[in-house]
Amino acid sequence: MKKKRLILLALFILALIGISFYGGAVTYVFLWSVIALPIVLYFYIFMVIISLRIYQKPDGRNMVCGRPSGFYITLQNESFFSFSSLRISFYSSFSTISDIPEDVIYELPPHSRIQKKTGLLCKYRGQYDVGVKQICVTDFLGVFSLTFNIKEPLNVIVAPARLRLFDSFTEGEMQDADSENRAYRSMPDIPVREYLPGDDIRFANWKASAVTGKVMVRELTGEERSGIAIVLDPRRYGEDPFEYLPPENKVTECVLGLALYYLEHNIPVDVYLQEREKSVCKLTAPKDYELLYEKLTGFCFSEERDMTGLLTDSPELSGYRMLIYVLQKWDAGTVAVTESLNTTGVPSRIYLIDDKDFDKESTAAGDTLLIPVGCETVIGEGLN
Amino acid sequence: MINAAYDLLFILPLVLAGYSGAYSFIVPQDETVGLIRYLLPVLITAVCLSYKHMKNKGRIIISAVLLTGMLGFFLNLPAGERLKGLGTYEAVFELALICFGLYLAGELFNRSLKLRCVVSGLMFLALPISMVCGYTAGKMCSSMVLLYLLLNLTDLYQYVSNKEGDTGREKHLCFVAPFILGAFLVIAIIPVSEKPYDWAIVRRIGGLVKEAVIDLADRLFVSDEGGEAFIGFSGRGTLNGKIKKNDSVSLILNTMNGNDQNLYIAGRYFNEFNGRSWENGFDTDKDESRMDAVETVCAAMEDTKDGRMTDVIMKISLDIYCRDKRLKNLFIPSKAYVIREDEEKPGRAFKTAYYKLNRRNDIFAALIDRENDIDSTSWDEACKELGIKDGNISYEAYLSYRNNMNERYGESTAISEKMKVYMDELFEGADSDYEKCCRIEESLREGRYSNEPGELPENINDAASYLDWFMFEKKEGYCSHYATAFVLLARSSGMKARYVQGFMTKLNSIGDSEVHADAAHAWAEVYFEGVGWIGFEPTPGYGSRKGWKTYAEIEAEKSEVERKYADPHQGEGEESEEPGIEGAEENKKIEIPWEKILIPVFSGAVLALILFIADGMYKRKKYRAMSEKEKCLFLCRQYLHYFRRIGCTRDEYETLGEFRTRASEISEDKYLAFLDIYERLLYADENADEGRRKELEAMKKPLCSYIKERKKELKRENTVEDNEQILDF
Repeated sequence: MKKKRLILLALFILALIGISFYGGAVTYVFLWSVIALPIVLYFYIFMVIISLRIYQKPDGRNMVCGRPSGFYITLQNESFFSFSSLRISFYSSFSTISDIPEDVIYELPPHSRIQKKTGLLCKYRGQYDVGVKQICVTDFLGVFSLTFNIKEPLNVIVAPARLRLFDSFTEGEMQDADSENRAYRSMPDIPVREYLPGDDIRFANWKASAVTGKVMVRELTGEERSGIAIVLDPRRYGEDPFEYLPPENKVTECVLGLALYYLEHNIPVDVYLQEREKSVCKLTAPKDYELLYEKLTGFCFSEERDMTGLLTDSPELSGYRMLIYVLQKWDAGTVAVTESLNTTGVPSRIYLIDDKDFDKESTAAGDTLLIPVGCETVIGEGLN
Repeated sequence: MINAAYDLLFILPLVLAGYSGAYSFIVPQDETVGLIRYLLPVLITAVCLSYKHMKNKGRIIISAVLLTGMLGFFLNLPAGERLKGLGTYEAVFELALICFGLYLAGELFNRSLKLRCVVSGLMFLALPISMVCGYTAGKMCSSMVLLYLLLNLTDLYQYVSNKEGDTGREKHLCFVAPFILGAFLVIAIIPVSEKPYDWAIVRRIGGLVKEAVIDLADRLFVSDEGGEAFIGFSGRGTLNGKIKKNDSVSLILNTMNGNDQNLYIAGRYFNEFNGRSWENGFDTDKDESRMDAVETVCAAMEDTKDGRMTDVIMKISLDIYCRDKRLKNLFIPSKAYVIREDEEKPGRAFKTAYYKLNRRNDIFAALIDRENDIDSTSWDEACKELGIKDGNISYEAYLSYRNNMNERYGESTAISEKMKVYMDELFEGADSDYEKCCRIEESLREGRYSNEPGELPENINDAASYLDWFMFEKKEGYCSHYATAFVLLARSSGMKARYVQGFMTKLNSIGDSEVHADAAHAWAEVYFEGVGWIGFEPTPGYGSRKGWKTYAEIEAEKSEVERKYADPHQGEGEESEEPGIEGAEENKKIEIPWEKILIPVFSGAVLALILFIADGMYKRKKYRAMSEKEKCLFLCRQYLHYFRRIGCTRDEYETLGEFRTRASEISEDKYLAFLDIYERLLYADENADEGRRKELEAMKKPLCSYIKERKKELKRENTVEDNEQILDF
């Protein structure tokens, strides 16, 4: 195309030289033709742009991350002239369109259409634009082209994927969840007090008793819970969808996968969420999974929300059998969370969803296990 | 239809291009008849393409129409001169033959895209080559060649492109060609010039940019003093020993109504010479200049009472723009009576009108020598002539001005005895002051011009010593030296003379004239009471007395020419009779030449009938020669075609089943039964026998009746709808 434009420019210069030295029809008609040609070609492109109709529709209203769904694209020409050359570009950062290569050039005679049925696969959970992004219109001589963005792109809400976590991912989960007194055996700094008549002897801390020579019992903070608490980091990090969509997707996948895992093992799960205010999704049986799924499909991450606030408002967290935190950033706040977890004596895991430079191996700090998970890491297989 | 349009798009430009080229050779130039001459190639191309793309019926009709037309034309020629008459249309037959040949060539080229592209490329190259060789193709020829090339390029691009969708070249070109044709329609309207483009706009813009750059450079880099020892207006009366060239632009002049070969634009006057330089300078004054002009006009009006004033003086309008910002003086031409400041460039640009003097003949000399007494009446008349109304140019002001001029420039110059003798010899036989001035001027013009005359000797310290040195020793110098000598010599003879500095240039009749610094000049003016200041050019090689022919001289020449070239036979011979008007008008009968209409029409109809019959016989023969299956397929296709007449056309990608479903909405199933047979014949590879064929043939009559009825119904429905719409409206 560049070559053709250079040729046109050379012809224009030639025409100017021609009319400078020769008069007559040949030189002037040649000049007018060379001047008129770009005008006509751009006018043609403009007419194509205003006459072209594009229709795109997904198959069904619900889209699920990672699951291909039908997608229909129609290019329609309702005018009296041919659309010589159209090239379509799709949104490809968070979704893919199958069966339609982007380098195909389409031609549409008058009153005709091209209909394509294809598959749309959304990579991440969330709300974003999919489908046709841009149309490149080239003139009938292939000299000039104009690319324009679709005025009203197709915006979809994609539900998270339903995953069953791989065994390798859940290795050691049950062991930690089952070990009631594991934390107390290894953590000397359990808050204890002297036995008072009426205290439940089951809560006696025999190690502390041996040390002190008196019967010591654990200090109970709040109600004791027998299940797992999963706390989800509600914050949105970044303004660019490229920054926040992948980690948020992985966070929801982790939470759903872990919740399903524990429910299938008959362990109740409480999922702590922070929207306008704290909410806890209590799951006791596998049938409650759908409740959590719906909740997380509509969940909105926000820059204004904070993990620390959620933890502060939830002192009852120390009463759980195990705590699982699914975080997106490793920063001072995260470190503080880790340290505070160590003091409660409750076994805990931190799943850190992060693709940045970090020690990729899991690290343990006391009874807290830090497991890094990449944004693109496949952690389970999809459920039907 | 698409194929026909596609062929037309390529063949018609080719035919028109070749035709317009041939036309200019075959038909003499004075027989051009405008765009109607292109009717022939368009007609021939249309007829040929119709023949190619139409079915037999259409071809028969066209043949009949052509025969009718040709016969009618032939019969309308005068009876005894039919063959001879045809001969006068020889050019038309030649052109028609050429058009047909070009059509055939177009058909041949259309068979191969590559061949067509090569031909269009060659035609394009032939245009400039023919232009260089001296033969210039006309506008139609050039346009059609370029159109042909562009269409071929579009087709070629479509051919090499790899696209998805309906990429048929014919369809593509037909539906993008309107854009190309629209552009060429506009090009056809735009006029073309036979002359090369003069780039006036670009030059004007370039001039403005250049001026802006020079102004900027002047502001930033040039001091106010500049110009010393360079040729240029300095405003000082110094006689330098050496002057250098300087081609910067000082003034820009523009006039629309005249030219002046020796235009003197004054900037400053001097009246005192101390032997080495002029002192006591006076800038040009608007009122003084106008009074000078009025004074001259008074003399001219008096002088040309029986003749024309334009024999003596001529008005010229002049716009002056002082480009060089270092020049602070007001530069105006002699005898300027309108001096108006240009509001867009205040202080730099002026619109003036001045009088040019006719110095070439004795009329002027007589005018000056005559005693011109100006009274208030003649002054007022002159002011009225010039449109001057303000009080600064009153008669009283003139009297004051006159006294002022006498005082300022009237001081006599003392000269040596040697110079007195020289002057006496020079003035021998001179009757008037003007004659004396002319002799001084001629005497000085015999000297040598030099840009480097050298410094004045130390001992020169007054006018007399300067004159002796310059006239008898040096005898060379530049304008300042000669003008100084003239003024001093004129004053020594009792005349009022002044040294003038300014510019001397040629004024072009149209457009801008640039006055460079090199044009700076010094000359002398002498005051003749009742006439005004008259300039003299004593510098060798500069100016000469220019003028123009008087009205009497022009009339005399005209009479001479008429006398010399008059027709010797004019006025001889019989008088031609004028057509008289008849008395009562007779009633005229309108006679219709029926035979000239009926014979061609009858012949055309007969031909059409014969051809229809022949076509029918041929088709029947062809049908009989087909196999049973071919006959069945033929019949099915024919019946499918019948449904088109009632608006039910099978789409390109529609299956027979889909078509049947659609057609059954408007038609009964019994009329669609042939579709089942058709489908089985095409896809089930069923063998058709005579029985099947007869079954299909039996469907024809009822189907045709149904189609006719249905057409009538549709027509009635459309009429009712139209009426309802009209009623609603």
